[in-house]
Amino acid sequence: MKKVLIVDDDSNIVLSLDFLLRKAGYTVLIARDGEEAIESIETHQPLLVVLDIRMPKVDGFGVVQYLKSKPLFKQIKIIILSAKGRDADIERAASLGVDQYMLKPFSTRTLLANIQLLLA
Amino acid sequence: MTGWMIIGISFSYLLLLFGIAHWAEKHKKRYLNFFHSPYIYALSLAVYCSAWTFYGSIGRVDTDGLDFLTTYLGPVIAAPLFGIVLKKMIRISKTQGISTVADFISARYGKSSFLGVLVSVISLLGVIPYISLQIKAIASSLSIVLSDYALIGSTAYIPLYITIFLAVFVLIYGNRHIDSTRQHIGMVTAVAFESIVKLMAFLTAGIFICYGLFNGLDDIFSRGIDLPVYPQLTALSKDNSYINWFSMTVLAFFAVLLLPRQFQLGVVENIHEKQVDKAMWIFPIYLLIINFFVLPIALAGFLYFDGQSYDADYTLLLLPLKASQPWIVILVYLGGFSAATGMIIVETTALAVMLSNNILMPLVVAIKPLKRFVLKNAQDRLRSIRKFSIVLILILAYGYYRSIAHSFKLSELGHISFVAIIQFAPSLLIGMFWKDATKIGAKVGLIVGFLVWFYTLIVPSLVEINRLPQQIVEEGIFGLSFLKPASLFGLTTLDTIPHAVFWSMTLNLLSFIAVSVYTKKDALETIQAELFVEVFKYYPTFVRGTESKGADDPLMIDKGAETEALYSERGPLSTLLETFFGKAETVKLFKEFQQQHSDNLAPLGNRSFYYFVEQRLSGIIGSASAKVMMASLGSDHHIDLQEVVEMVRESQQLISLNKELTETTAQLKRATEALAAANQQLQEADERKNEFLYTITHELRTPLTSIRAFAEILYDHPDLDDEQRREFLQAMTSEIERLSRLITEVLDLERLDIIKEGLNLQPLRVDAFISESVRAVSQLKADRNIKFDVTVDPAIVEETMADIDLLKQVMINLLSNAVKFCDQQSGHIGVNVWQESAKIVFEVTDNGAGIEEELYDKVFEKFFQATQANQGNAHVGSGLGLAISKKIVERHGGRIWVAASGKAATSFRFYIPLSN
Repeated sequence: MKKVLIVDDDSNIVLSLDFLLRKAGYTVLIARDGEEAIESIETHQPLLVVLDIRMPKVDGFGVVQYLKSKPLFKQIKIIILSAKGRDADIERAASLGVDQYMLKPFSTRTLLANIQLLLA
Repeated sequence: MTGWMIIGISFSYLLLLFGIAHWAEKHKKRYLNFFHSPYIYALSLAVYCSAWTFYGSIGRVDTDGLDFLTTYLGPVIAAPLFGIVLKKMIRISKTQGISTVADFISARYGKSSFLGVLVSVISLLGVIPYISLQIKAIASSLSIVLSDYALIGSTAYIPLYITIFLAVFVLIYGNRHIDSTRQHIGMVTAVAFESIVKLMAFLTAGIFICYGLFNGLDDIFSRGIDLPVYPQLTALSKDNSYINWFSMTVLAFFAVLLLPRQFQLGVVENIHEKQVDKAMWIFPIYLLIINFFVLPIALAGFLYFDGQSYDADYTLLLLPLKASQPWIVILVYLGGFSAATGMIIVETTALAVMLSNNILMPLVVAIKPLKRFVLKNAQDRLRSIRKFSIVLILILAYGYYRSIAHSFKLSELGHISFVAIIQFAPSLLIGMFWKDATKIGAKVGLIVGFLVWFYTLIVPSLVEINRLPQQIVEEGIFGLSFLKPASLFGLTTLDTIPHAVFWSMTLNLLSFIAVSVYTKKDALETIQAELFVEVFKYYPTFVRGTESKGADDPLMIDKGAETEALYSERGPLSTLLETFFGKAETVKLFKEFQQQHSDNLAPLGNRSFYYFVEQRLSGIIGSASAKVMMASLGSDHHIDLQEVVEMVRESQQLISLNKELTETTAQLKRATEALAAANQQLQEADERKNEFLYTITHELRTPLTSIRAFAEILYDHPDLDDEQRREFLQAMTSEIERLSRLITEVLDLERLDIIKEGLNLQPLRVDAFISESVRAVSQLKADRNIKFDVTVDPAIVEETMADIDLLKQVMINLLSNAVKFCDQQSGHIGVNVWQESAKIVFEVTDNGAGIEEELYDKVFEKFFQATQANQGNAHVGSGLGLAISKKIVERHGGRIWVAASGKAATSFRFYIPLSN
């Protein structure tokens, strides 16, 4: 089963995504902040990370930079879910090699479709 | 104290004057506002009070009763007229390049050399004895002060040394520029300082005599009234003659405007006409104060010396001397010394300009070889002529003092001088307002007045010292009894001075008017009459005179290259200009002219330029000589009234326009700066607003995300079990609550920003307020083990006014934060309220994990959330609670802050001031 990591500090968002991804047949890992995320990636090596930007400790961009700096994790697909909709944020994400940038609130169906596409 | 010490003090005082003048000249740019202030100007005008009045007033009481008051009354009556007369004199002088009374009269009547010479001669004859009088006052006061000391050697030459010192002072500070229309800041400041010294000295001595030697004014007057001389001392004037009193007042009235030193300080040294407005009341007040003790001191002298003979002129000095009060003696001596030196300095400066510009320069200009000699190196030679004049005047004054002056009382000499000076009144003052006054009228009037003055005052003095036969006084000249100097045409009822005033002024005035009516003006006279009488029409603004004018003027349009080009076309005019002004100054003149006539780029050979140059040259060599000098350039530059009027108008319009432009530019600059600042503020506010909105959208998106996700889950998965459905619905509800709370708080925050005065003030009862707030949060802690400790200091008696609802919001916010963050297992929350000076302090403490110190201020920022400290959803607030609390407290005039934070004790405090 394909492992997907959800990283967000908002518990209700985590709750909903956890349910959706399980239903869709993925193994779900959860992290509440950037540090936990990096830890989880190192131990579980997920195929895809659903990542929030504004988080305590290490933020979303920090996690992306970490992933892209390690050859081992370079291939991990990244979807950013963020309430930050400014062009600068989106451009920064693109330049870092993020696969998908989705603005909160997003359509759960589109999110699932994107995950499926990226992991196909 | 030794006699040498007193001499030392005199010279130290003179050195101090040098120091002050030097300091002022050095810093005149730096303390511009100080040196240009109306106070310095008004104080300098008080040079009017010379040693003659400082010592002599008291002496006059002795002989003429209250007559001394006329010397002050005249100026006090004249002062309100300064606004009309003095301002007009200033405007005329500044626009015409006039620097002396002689030049004023000469310029008014077609720049007549003869009038310039005549007025200068009268001034010199009238005023040099007056300067001698000051030297005499210094010498006499010195000999009185030194009388107690047996000095080795002679002190007779000390007045000479003092005169030499003063000559050096005038040479340095009264003769700084060859352009005599320019101001002497150093000299004026020193003179203003002297005015303060003499006033302080007089008042101190007055207080000492009246309250130290006697038991106050009442004592002096109650004892004085029994003196046999009392009626005489308090009479209006000698024999109580009202006409005497009136004539003396008239005399002083004109003297204050026309004395060379008053003209120098009032007109030439005037920096802006606004100074006159303040001087109009400060100067009379000064005179009033310095006079206050004259009569009591005169009486005190009589009472103190009780029949012994003493020199009443020096009562002020003699009383403290007899009472062995050396410090007061020295102070009085310095006061008199300052009165004398101030007068000598300014009078010499003014007379020297007259002597050089109005007597010597016309000679130089008229005598060809002399002219060639001077023009060869005009600047240096002019300077030498000015220096020579200063030295000559002081030599004459000192000589007069040595040979004749001892024979007269102080007050007599002063008055003789005054009478000579007021002969200028008709031609100068009436000439300022009456266009039909003619040159011949002025000449005749002045000559008549002068002759009467000489005959009625000087002839008797010469007789008195046996220089003329006695018979003239006793029988009249050639034995004609109606020509007796003291009773002309049989007028026997007046004293010498009023008699002279009456006849000289009457005959002067009548002949001036009569001759003026029957004679015609020539072309130049017509022009000058028009420009004098209508000066405010042609020169509606006060344009030049300050030193800043010239190349440093920021508005000066720099046509440097063109000017240089024009300048290098060397014509006779530019040669002449360079001779007198030097090269740099000449270029400046060209620039200044072009500034005033901006469309006129060819000054050379241009009539308005000739006119302009002539005005400037007047300041250096006098109007009459300037006219002759310009005429000698050969070509015919004769212009008629119409042309002059056009020229003046044109340049004035440009100058006013320029002034307006400067002002407008300055205003525009200020407005632009204000706008830029406002714009900056707006931009910052705008940025804050943008940031705020961005943050709000971000905060709104987060709960919306969950709500949408759960809604879609519920919609897409109808097969969910009940428990899960309930869980999701509950999560949705809590997110919706979070959303609406956020909206409410954002609105609250905005409302607090918008409402300016909307506080709904009610009396705050602290007990009820706290218990209600605690009750409101008790629901939050219901399921947890949290202990509340509430302490309200019973000492709080005063009720203060507050918006209870808003303040409760603050309290509830702090309490609910405390509930959120206090220890999860055994929570403890303390509430303390007490009174401290004029405030009520509220404190909420919890035993949670605490806040890092660098976040103490940050927690009050909008959307700051203590994210590190909380991870569970239960804690999530909007991040606005403390920001709102801060606003509310500040609206009450109070402050909120984190008082302490550590393990087990985080306390927030806020206070509101007690309202009375």
